[in-house]
Amino acid sequence: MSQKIKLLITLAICFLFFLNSLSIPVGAVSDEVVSKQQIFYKVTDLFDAELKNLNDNLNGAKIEDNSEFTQKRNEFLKELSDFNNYNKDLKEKISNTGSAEDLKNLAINFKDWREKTYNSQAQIIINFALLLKQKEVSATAIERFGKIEKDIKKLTNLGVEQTQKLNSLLNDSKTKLNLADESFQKAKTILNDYLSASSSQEDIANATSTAATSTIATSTESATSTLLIASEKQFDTSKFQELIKESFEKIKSAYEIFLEMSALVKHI
Amino acid sequence: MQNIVEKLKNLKEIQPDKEYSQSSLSFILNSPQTSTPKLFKISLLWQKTFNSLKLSSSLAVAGVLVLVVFISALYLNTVVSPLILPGLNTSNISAEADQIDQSININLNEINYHKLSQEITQKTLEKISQASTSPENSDILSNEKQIDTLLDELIK
Repeated sequence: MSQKIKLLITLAICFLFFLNSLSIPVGAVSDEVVSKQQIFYKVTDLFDAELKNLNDNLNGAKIEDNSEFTQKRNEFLKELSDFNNYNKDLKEKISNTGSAEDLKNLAINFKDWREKTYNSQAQIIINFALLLKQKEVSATAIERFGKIEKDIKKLTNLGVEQTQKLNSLLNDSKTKLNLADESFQKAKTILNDYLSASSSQEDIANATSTAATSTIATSTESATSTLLIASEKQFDTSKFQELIKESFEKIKSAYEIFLEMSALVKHI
Repeated sequence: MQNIVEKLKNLKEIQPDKEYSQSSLSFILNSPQTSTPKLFKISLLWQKTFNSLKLSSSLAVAGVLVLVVFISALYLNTVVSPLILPGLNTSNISAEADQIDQSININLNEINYHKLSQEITQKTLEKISQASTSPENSDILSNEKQIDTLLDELIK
């Protein structure tokens, strides 16, 4: 009986030595899992914050009902809601994961999904929001131009001497606003071309694969289809943003002229 | 003839019935006096006239004021209005320009923010997906700090 106990103790000691030789300390695995889980949760929190920010940007833009942008904005909002659901599922999966290996696979899948699906789409949404903001800014500038034009007419009727100079400045500001609109239209075309091309690509992809974005993409089929879309779609972000900045700079110059006119009127 | 004179003399001595005279007297004394004194009547008339004069003068003053306001409005519209230039108001233009500048800068900053966020997320996920990472791993901790910083920026 005592021999059996001795044998069991010896075996247990040998097993511990064996584990030690493998450099896997008992309890270390769960510590690592907990640590990784915590960091993974922070990544999902950051993802949540990104989605909220994109959502706020889209909702904050003033768009007239039934304008060309309304439908697109609704589509993007729907997409953001899908991404949000994806993140909720992910959080649940993280909490249910018990091993470091499972957590590792989850991280790899999430990283792939972001690279192939989310990142490009988030970039489009943020650029779309930028386009909406620029549209809003242009509308404000055009409204200001209209008011100034009325004022200049009043002064012309009064026979004020500086009217000629004011009219010349008004024409300059009009040119700036026209140039701003030109850049804006070019940027809009880049985005529209990309969106129409990507929607037709998505139609093809949907015909071959019904993989939903709200579930974590693990199948090779869906990964291949999203990869295909990503490779086909090429959005020239730098060109687009350059045009938006250009449009914005022109509006800024128009406002500088407006201020010059305002100063001139003070001396009348 | 003498008889008649006699009768007339007797008439002088005719007196009313005592009861009747007393009830008549008390009736007269108790009945209210309706007639007003003349002076009071005059003062009442004067007061009425004065009041009506006051009302008409007030109406006249009000009428004049309305006329003044109307003429002023006409004057402002024809002479001063062209000098009121809301479109060329400096403070309005400056405020609008600042607002435009701010809103565009916010959007451009957000683009940079998203780029940074994507980079950090990717790096962190790479670290998580590594075969073995000790909690003391400095890289993963620095990523965690970066995530915290980004989250703080968003909460601001």
